[in-house]
Amino acid sequence: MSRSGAAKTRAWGRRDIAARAAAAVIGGYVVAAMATTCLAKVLPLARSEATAAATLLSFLFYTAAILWSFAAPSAVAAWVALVAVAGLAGIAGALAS
Amino acid sequence: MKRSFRQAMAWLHGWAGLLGGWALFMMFLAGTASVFKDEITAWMMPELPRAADPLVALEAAAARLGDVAPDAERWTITLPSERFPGTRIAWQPRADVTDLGPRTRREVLDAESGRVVTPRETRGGDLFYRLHYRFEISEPVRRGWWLSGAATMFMLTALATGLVVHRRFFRDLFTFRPGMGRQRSWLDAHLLLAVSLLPFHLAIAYTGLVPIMSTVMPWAVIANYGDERPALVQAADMDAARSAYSRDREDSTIRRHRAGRPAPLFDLRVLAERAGERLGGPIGSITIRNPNDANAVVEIVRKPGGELSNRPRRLYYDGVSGEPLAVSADIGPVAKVQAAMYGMHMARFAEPLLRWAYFLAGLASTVMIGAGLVVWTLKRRSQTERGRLSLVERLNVATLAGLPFAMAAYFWANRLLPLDMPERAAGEVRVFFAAWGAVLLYAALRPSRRAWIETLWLAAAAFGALPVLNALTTDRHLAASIASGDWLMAGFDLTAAATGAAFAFAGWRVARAVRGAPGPAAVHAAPSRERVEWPTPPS
Amino acid sequence: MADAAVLTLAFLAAACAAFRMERHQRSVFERPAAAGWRRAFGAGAIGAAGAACVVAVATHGPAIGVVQWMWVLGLAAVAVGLVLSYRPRCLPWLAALAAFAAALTGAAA
Repeated sequence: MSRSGAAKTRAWGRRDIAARAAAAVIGGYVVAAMATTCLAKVLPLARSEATAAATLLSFLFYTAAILWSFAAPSAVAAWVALVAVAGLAGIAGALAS
Repeated sequence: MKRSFRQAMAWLHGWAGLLGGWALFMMFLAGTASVFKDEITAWMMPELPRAADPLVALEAAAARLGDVAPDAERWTITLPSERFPGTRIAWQPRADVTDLGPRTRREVLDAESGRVVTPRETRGGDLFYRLHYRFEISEPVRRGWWLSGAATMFMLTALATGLVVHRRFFRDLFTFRPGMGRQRSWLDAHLLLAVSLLPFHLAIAYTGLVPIMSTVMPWAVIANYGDERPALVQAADMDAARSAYSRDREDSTIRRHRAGRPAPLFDLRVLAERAGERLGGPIGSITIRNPNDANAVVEIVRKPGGELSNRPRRLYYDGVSGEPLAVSADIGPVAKVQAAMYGMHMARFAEPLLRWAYFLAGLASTVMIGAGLVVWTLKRRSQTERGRLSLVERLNVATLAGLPFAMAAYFWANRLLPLDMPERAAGEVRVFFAAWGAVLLYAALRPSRRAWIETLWLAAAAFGALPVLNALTTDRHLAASIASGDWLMAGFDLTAAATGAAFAFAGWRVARAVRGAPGPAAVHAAPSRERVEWPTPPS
Repeated sequence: MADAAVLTLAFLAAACAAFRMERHQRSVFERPAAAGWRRAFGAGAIGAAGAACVVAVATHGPAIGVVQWMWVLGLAAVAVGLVLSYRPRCLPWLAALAAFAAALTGAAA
């Protein structure tokens, strides 16, 4: 392991990592839940089919949100985007019902 | 403040893999063993007779149920197969005639005579199955599902980040250099197994979520079938929503209420013969609702096979007249996909070659995870984080070598615990956890390199000697099994011996590496590859 | 028989894919292969993998056939990786053997 690798890592402090991990685990789950709720209501399928399809897809959203939490330029950006997506999905779901 | 995308993903891969790794190793190893769940149970019940003609078994089972539970709510007969030689029967007493409530009773029968067999009390392969999907947690079972769901998210994260980091994987395919230094070799092994079976890892991880998804991700069900309460409140108590959902999905089960008028049951053997032609395959199990009642219904289920779905094809007959009952079995396309994903994960349909492919691919996943955990420690060995490294290394020993050893100890307990011991099945499970705990303690006290070598050798001996133990404690030893074509018993003994040999090889390699003896000359000099530096964790 | 054909074809496909790669040509044949050979190995890999898929699907239907094909192909790649690591010179012989067995079992199926 080179020194440069170690030096670069210092850029992510403990608080940064904690904020990103919380965004991934909690924020990611909320995004997945909101997107699933929204899809379950808006998918043009029979009610039980839309329910199953939305639930099957939910873990893709969760995985994507986890990756984003650590790929985002900063922890704040990670949170802002997740909250925005969850909020939009929530509003869309509420309007659809 | 900035890091490249790949560096960030590499960091996430390392930490998600480490934190999820031990749980995932256990889930994959136990899941791999569960591929042969029935076969393991059969080995652990050496008192079982050899398989017999399923139709003979069916008649014998119906006679037994008619004697012991003539007015039960429901009978279920699981016919013997090449995976499990006994006939398994279960019945649910009527709720109104027993103080014990509608608790299901089970028995195993000699397929040929219908005589009740009382094999030694054991949980068999079921222990591994429960470990696999709920960490052997039963109170409440949901907690186990949440844990396995969380571990699966670690797996999906590790797979996705691994894909990003190791983007040139087709160029490195097939490359495994056992002699190029330990970190390099372990990384090669990790990559070879990861890349070759990437579709398997992805598919198994994602489909593993299907059986538990309405528990861990209930929000779509609540949105479409819930009531006016806030979603979070409903999530704590959503039986109503869930049953409305399952009613709404096409449920092809025919249910009739008991008429209360006795009527003789139609000849099950005749029904089975009729159904066998229409199902296009052998029959796996038969369920009779309201037996010996005017409203009896016979449900005949095909043996899993011929399709991925976890719900094999089935036919219904009137239990008195023997007339077929029509069922609208149409389910929607999404429900079909879901059933196929579920079935693909469970592999109940898999015929011998494919079953072995599942087993070997599962082993490959398990070893991939183990190799990843080892790479994590080797990368950091030169650094100064002694405390954390030592903790990780000890947990690695206890999991990678200790868990397989505990499985072998469970098999030993099956053969050695006294047959009349009270709570014998629970005793076997206690031996499993005690063996695992003992290795953990041992790994905590021993220098980790010694602990590695010794535990690997221990696992090698425990597995390698299983066929000998079987020969000494039963009359169904390997030579007899092979001579009589009993591939169920022989298959287990041979697999145990092969597992022992694999652990002996691993122990020998690790011992040689620790002694510092040079490995075989690198068989082909590989040009050094530029590679993303895997950043070190913050201290 | 059909299952044996799938196994041997998958091994052949993985071996051809390895022969197509320069690094493995060096370890197996001691020198890089000519461009014509590279193309032939590439075509062989795709052809054998495709044939394995066809046999698996014809035997077990599209759903189970594709599952069997993917898992077996992955395991064959692991096997080829192990042979290349420990006994690289054996790989051409094993591949020839696999081709022969695939022809026999395929004809029988």
